[in-house]
Amino acid sequence: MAKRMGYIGAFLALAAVCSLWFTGCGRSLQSQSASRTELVMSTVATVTLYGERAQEGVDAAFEKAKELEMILSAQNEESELYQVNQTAYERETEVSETLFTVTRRSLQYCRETDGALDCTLGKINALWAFGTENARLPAQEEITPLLVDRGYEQVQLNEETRTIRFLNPNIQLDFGATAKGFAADEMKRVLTEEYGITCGIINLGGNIITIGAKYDGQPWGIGVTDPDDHTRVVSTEYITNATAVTSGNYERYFIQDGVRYHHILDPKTGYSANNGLISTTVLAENSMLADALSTATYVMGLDKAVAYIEAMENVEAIFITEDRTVVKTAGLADDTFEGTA
Amino acid sequence: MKKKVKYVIAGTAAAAVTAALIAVWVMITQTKVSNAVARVYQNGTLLQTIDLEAVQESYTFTIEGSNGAYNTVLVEPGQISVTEASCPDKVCISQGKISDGVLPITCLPNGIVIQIETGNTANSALDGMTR
Repeated sequence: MAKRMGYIGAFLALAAVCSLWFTGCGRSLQSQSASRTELVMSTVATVTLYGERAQEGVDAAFEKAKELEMILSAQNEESELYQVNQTAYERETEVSETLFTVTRRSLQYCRETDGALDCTLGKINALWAFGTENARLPAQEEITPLLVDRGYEQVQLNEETRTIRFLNPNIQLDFGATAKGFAADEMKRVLTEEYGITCGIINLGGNIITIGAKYDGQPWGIGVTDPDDHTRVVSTEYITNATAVTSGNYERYFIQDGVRYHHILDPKTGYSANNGLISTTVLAENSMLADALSTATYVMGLDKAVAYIEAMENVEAIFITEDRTVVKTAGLADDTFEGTA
Repeated sequence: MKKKVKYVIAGTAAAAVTAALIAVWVMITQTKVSNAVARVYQNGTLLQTIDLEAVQESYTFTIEGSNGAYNTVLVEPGQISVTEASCPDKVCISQGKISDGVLPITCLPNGIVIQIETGNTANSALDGMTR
């Protein structure tokens, strides 16, 4: 009898161990997950991570985003950038390493896109105040005096002293087109390097960056929002260890006298860019690059934008035109994109 | 002795089959858990937690902010939306009704976030949406 009970016991133990194996294997990552949504960097961010240190990672990622907001925000009067914008024309202003790096790289993207992106529209952006309760249509007389041809060439950087100097009083730095991308890259770096996270997704106001593949080894399915119905997608891309960033005319805007005024400004006019596109999505490995290019290509218009992206290595894009045509670059024929990093 | 080996093999096989059945049962019951719970935040503070599956009849409530700011939220069985808002861009209204965790409703000017957490997101076709 005791022997029989022993057999039954062994059987049950074996069954229990096997069932743990069946359900646990491949699902262990999924079973340890953490996710949080918060308002940060003037946008809504969701961080979802998998693995043993998921919860710690989520906390660290938001901490990083808040730290960067206090450096890079052009609107927050407490931020380092806000302070620098007040003094850099009067005198050479010493800045933190982070602010120096973001300025240097942003200016580089301005030059590379031949001014389609210009990160020196701070004063004009402040007039429009998109995304705030003070958003309004500025008069032409307010904008014209602040228009500086290739304003980004009027910023002087000194690597040795780590200082910034404006050569024109009408420019101020605004990293609306690069800061979120930079932050997404930094959040990912902290998570992978300091917390050993191998699986996760960060959505920083529509800037999406993924860490590795999904918990089941599959790529992450990322929808490109339909500009006419935000609950639908026009296309789904499958990305692994990569980023997808969209610039659209439907995110921060207002309509006045039947005209839609949106936050993507054409540096040449100081008014909302109006070159036939209503949404551009850029897929790349680096989120700051994708962020900069999504804004720059929106300003360029379809033909120029397609040619620009096609000439780049490991960068793809999806454009939606005013007549709702969806155009993808050649490398997205199978809707997959994989980062190598 | 030989008989004992046979018993062990048969026992192991039976255990494996039983385990597989248990595993299938666990997976099925897990995937059935999909309670959509909406969390409503104002400037990072959790205001309300609403189990959308438990909602029988639709209702609305208003979130009031500073300087007369407001957002009217419509709660329906399985879904939630913002129907009225004082903000100038009305992005929160145009986001429509949400029923999954893919994209939260946000009103930046008024600091409102409505996020749905589902018991199981594995069945969602999308992991995120760019915008």
